[in-house]
Amino acid sequence: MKPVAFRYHAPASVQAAVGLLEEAGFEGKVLAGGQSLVPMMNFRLARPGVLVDLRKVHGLTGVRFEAGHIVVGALTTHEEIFLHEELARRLPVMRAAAALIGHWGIRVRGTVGGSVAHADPAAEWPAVMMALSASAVVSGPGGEREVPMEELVAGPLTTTLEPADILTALKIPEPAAGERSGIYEVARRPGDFALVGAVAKTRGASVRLTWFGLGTVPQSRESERFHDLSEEAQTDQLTAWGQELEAESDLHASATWRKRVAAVVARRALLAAASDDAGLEAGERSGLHV
Amino acid sequence: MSEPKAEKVAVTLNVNGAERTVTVEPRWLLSDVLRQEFGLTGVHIGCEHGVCGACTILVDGEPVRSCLQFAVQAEGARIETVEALGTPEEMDPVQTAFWEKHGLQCGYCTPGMVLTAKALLDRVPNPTEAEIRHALSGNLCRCTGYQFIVEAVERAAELRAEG
Ligand SMILES: Cc1cc2nc3c(=O)[nH]c(=O)nc-3n(C[C@H](O)[C@H](O)[C@H](O)COP(=O)(O)OP(=O)(O)OC[C@H]3O[C@@H](n4cnc5c(N)ncnc54)[C@H](O)[C@@H]3O)c2cc1C
Ligand code: FES
Ligand code: FES
Repeated sequence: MKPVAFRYHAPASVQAAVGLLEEAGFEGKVLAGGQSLVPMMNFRLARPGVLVDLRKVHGLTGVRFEAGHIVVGALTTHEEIFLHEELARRLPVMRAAAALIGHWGIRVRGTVGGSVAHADPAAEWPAVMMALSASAVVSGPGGEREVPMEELVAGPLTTTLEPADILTALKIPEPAAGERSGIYEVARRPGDFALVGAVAKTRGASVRLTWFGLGTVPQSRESERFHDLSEEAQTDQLTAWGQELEAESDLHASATWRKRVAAVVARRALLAAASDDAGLEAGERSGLHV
Repeated sequence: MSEPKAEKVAVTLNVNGAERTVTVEPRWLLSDVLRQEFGLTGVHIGCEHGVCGACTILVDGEPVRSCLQFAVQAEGARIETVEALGTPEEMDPVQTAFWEKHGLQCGYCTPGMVLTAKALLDRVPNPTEAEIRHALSGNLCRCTGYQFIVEAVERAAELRAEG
């Protein structure tokens, strides 16, 4: 099918984009890589009357290393993140996560900001950002503000962004000494959305896990002394978390199955965090295991 | 909801080495504009939601889904379709390799496969089998079972190395 007619704007600044969105009200939509929005428009599941394309806005792409933070521009593509050597060195989970997203042709266009703003429950970036305690930098009619990821994602495909808000960057706290992170997911085929996945962040004995593809939003659990536990007690803890987390049933898997596999992907995400590539190589094969 | 009147805008596209200005509705997909305005019917349309890869073209040398992009977004970009690759008399090494190795049956997926393979070989001249499968994972084929396609890409790497 084909999208309904809309008015198209490609402003050159964030300010101009916010102005156009304010004018458009609920008819308006931001267009980034289009890898989620355009399929929805082709099927007329989304019928925006006005599209505000960010492609001409400067300063929204690339990775900056600031004191205490890593700032990833909202329009940075999955592929740019995948290929970024310094980012992969400082935060290898970024490369490992990017490699799990869709296919080459999708990664070349799709953006990290678009993925976070789209808030698909099975998407990697919202969970990675939540696991890393990142915040979203948002520009709107009232100026700029920072929103912690937990407060940004409100439900499946739903965020707390207002219609004239633009996500300009993701701000990730610089990893502390000894901090490691990794990702693992189970999918039918490489490139498919995850049936269940987890991101792990560890430091010393402490562990923070964030699951995706499980419930309607990414969910996290933390333990200060996880690595002090015996292996058996660790497994019990992961199983218990899997059972208490909210899980959805759909065409692809039941909630019962997802809860069980949640413990397995958590264990493998922890192994990924302990590995040098944060799970990149394991991830390339993950689709074949199911 | 009121639909805005279908206004047309002029957009200049650089397609297969030539610039041309066409008048399009903003909602027209790049895939449709390439087929209907430029006559480039090597751009195949399978699913129109980014899943099959039949509509793959190269934009600035990288494979993208032309069904997930509006033509108005492509202003200033360098677009290549399979038509740019070779002629029946003088095929591109990738095309020769697909022909030699029987990397196609009905041919519906072929333009997308060939362009993705070309982009891969431009980046990684001598890819492993795993790299080939990974790169092509976003292009579906309902006929060949993929094995011959993978072999075709391996052969294309050889042909390109031979020059
Ligand atoms: C076949 C296929 C497979 C895929 N597989 C995966 C996968 O495995 N994992 C995964 O995570 N994703 C997957 N995706 C989705 C892909 O990652 C998208 O790129 C991503 O979800 C959206 O990013 P985008 O830049 O394309 O955003 P768009 O499609 O342009 O926008 C998506 C939504 O976010 C809003 N938006 C975008 N940018 C901003 C911004 N800066 N500020 C405010 N709002 C904004 C838009 O208005 C829209 O509502 C897949 C897509 C396809 C077609
Ligand atoms: S037609 Fe574009 S991916 Fe299927
Ligand atoms: S040759 Fe028929 S779909 Fe690939």
